[in-house]
Amino acid sequence: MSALFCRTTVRAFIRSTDVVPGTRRLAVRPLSSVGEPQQSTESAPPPPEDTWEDVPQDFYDIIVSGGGMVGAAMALALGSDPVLLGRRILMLDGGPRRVLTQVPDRFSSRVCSLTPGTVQLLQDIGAWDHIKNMRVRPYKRMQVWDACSDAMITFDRDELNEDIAHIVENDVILSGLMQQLDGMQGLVDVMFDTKVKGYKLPSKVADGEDSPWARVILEDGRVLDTRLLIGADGPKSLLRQTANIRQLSWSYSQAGVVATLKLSEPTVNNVAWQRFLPTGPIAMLPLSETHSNLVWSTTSEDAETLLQMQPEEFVEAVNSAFWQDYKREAAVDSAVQTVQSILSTISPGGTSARQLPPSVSDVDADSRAMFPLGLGHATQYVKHRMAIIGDAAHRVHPMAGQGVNLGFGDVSCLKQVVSDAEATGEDIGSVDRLLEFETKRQQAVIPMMAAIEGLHRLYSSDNPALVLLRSVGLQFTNAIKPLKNEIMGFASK
Amino acid sequence: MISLSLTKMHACKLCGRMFRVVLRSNRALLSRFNGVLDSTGRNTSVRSCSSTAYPSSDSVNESGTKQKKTSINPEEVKKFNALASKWWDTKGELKGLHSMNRLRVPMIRDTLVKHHSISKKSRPLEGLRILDVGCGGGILSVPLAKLGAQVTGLDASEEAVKAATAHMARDPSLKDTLTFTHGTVEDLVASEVRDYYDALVASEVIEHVDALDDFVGSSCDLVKPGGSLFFTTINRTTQSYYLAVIAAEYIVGVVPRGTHNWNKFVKPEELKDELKANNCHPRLIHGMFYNPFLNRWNWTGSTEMNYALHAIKEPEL
Repeated sequence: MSALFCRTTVRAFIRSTDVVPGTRRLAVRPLSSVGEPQQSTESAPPPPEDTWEDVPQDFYDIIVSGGGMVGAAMALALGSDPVLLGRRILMLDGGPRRVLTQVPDRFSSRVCSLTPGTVQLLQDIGAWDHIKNMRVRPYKRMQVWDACSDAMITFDRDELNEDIAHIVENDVILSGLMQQLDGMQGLVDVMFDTKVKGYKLPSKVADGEDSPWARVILEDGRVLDTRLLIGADGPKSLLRQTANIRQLSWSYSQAGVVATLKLSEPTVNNVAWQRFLPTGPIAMLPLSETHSNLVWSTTSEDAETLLQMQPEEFVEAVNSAFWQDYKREAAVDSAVQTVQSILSTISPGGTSARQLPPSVSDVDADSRAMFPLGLGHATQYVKHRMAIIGDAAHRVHPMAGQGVNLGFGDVSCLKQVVSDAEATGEDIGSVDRLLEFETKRQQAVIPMMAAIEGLHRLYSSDNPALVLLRSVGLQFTNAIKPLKNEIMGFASK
Repeated sequence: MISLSLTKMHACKLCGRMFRVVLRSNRALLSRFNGVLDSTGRNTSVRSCSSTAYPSSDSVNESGTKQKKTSINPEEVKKFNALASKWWDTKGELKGLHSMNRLRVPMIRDTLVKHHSISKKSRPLEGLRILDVGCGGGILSVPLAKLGAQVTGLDASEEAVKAATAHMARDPSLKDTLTFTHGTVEDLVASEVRDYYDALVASEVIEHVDALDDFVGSSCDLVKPGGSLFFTTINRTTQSYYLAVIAAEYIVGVVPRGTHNWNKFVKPEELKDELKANNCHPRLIHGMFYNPFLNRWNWTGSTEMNYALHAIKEPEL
């Protein structure tokens, strides 16, 4: 499975997990010895009381706080919905407008793997054409294999006729979204370089003189009221904290290393490669015929070392991570071989031959970067007049490439819920409606997080029993087409 | 419930002119939930319209009345805000009316969109005048106004009208499309409002009305030729006696006791006959079913309990 990184994620991961002393430990217990997860609950900082009495300067039907990939897509999705035509929509971005005037020759090492579901959304909101005109790389096959045995699994769609996903640089995605926003003047207001000082949320039943609206106080002192405040403000979401929504989070003592790799020789390069090493998964994602992106999750110490290495040493380390044989157990090997022969007797052709990844000859200067890995999930996604989406609501281990896709899934779902409410004249900020969004998304997000967490724990061990279990499991999964298609469908929403 | 022998000068919300108000007693008592919302003092003036209209000498127009709103006694504002939050508590005593919106708003919207061949998706009812009779706190008036319609909410309870006004005053998008008026359909007809509305909605009202013939007659007068009338109400059947009165009021307690008088419930045939007698043609009748445990309304084939009816007034030749 491919990996993905979001600018926002990177920024926020720099922080180590906050453990509040004395907070109640939650019921989920860590299983693995590698990357002992630490859990914590975040408590909200006290709101800056002095600003609450300000008079609102403007009123919007919807304010999206955060102009990253997910926030910009949210603003676009709302702005292009015919039911919401004429509603005042605002996107707040704390940073500058980030548009690429021309696509740089060198690849950025921050990339996402966009599933067909995400591509469909980007098409619907009109941003995909801009993105495709810049630079995207589809891939048709994905091979995942184990370093501790010969077990492997391959995924493809419709016998290689359809793309599994597209690798796109974060800068390109964001630029495409911004270009589309430029054409939405009058439909979506955008404020760049506008930082939020605080939020104020109303109680469910506005009683007496209290304002019934959600309020945004900007650093420059302006005050904006809105029916519905959407927080796309990243893993450290101020809106989530203001709303007192608890975040269940843990970090692995692991880090991700990203880089742009140059291949030894040009290839078709339409396969995503991922190998599970005992220290974590390493993935190579196609960028062009000559370049691939590296996403390597490993221990924090190893990541530090990888970052300090000379380019030649680094290339050597990457190549051996994909090629080198790790500690093998004879018992596991023979079991895997036996299962393999049984499977090929039962369903000849059901298992595919293992291919080898291309070898790497160089690494782009300055493309290497690292960030700590963590996982977080908000216990609630909505309250009265507010919803959180993307990394503000959930962030996952990057190994499954689902992080930003889950965020884009939030966008599609929330847009539909808001649109349905508007079409029946209902209050779009009413928690009664917003709960539909929360229920639907948690049904999608929680199983995904559980699956990713489970895989992480299963593969971060070289215990022979676990290796045997996962190897045989992987072999069977690979041989059973309906099951594989099920997994593909699940991962590509 | 309300002593109705007042004679006062008031500005009509419809045209801004001043009227002498004579409220007649007990005709079409529209307020459904006065029993729920305890009535307290009534010492602020309420704008109503009735009787013969004549231009006012001190011309209080729309803007004049709006300025007046801000100078209202703060205690009063507080009281009606509290009342409004009772009406607008979607999980409170009136949750059944809130959840009914999921059924009746799309029905009204889709019927009007089809009838007037409207293609736009945003605020589709823009340009249409709708009278919501027995509007109460505005639970149905507000969504219709949000869909773009020019809505007048009419209720015989001045508490309800003030609560509705207090609620809508908070929403900037409603100030041009929604007004609430204290009065009855007969009052409007008497003030020579005729053939005026594109649609009239009387949702959960006629089961509280004393004289159905007068009520339907006046309602039909108010609607433009070719305009629509929408009713939702409870059928008078054995089933409705046990479920809507005995079970709802005495066993489950979802409706306050004394809310419903079974003898006043209206059979679909009776309503149809009244409409036909007034040149209005029933087009559609749907059964509605309420699940109190899920607080959800569904359409059903049976009109034994609740039903919705749409009729069209004979267009002019």
